[in-house]
Amino acid sequence: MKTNISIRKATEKDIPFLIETIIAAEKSGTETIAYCSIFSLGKEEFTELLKNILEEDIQGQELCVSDFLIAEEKGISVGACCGWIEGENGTSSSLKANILHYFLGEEKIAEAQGIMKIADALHIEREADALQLESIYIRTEYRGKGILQVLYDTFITEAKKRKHDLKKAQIQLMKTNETALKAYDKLGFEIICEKHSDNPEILRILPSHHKVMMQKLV
Amino acid sequence: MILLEIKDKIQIIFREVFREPSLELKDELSANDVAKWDSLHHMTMIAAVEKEFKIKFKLKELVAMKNAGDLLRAVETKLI
Repeated sequence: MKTNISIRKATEKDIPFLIETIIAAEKSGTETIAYCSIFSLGKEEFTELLKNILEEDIQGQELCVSDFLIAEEKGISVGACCGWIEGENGTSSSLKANILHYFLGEEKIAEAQGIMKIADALHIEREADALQLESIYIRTEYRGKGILQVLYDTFITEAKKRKHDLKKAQIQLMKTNETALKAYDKLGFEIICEKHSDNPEILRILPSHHKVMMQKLV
Repeated sequence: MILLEIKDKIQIIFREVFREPSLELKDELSANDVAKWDSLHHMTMIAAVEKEFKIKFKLKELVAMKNAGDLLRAVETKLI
């Protein structure tokens, strides 16, 4: 079933599909988008913010066009995934903090500090030198065709060209996203770290109160 | 403003934001070396630096900063 799928690097023209990808991945099977709840953004404002950030194409964090691979079938984008080697272009959390500071401004960030501290209870540090995979999305009607495996294999091949001694690939996701958990389990990923919060406020901000990091040795 | 003055002011900001009263600002100091230097405190620190020196960083300046030395030189460049 994999024969018609081709993989290519994303370009600026893919930004609308990448926005669809990032929003679907952020929702994690719910209707909650953390960026919207943390920074009091409407969906249109968030879409505009994502567009502006993606256009800057800052490598080494999950909102970067050229760190995305696109899966295509007959010229139609059917899936996407972002991946980078942590630390290759700086620490991803600092890069993203700089980007958010720049686009949202000091006031919006200051207002969100309290909510960010609650959300921080589920923060899992990304491991330096590991391939980090993020914003993984396959359109519903194209699932079960092995597209994720092809995307993953391409990431590993490309990452190993830059880092010959690459040892690990890691994914962070909400534990309640059972479809994704099963899909990564099938790829050979195992849960190596979990974060849970009993704070009832969490579900107002994030899609779940339980986050995991999965890892596969490559 | 000379580099030493900039360094002193940034050191005060770092000590306050990252809650390390004895933190010594060295060029190679990065998020990996300071316990509280996570994304939340990073944003607070950048906002405090911009406010202190009355400057506004461009995005490409922000993402090029890999350690405290890069931050120091970026501030110095903007004040020239």
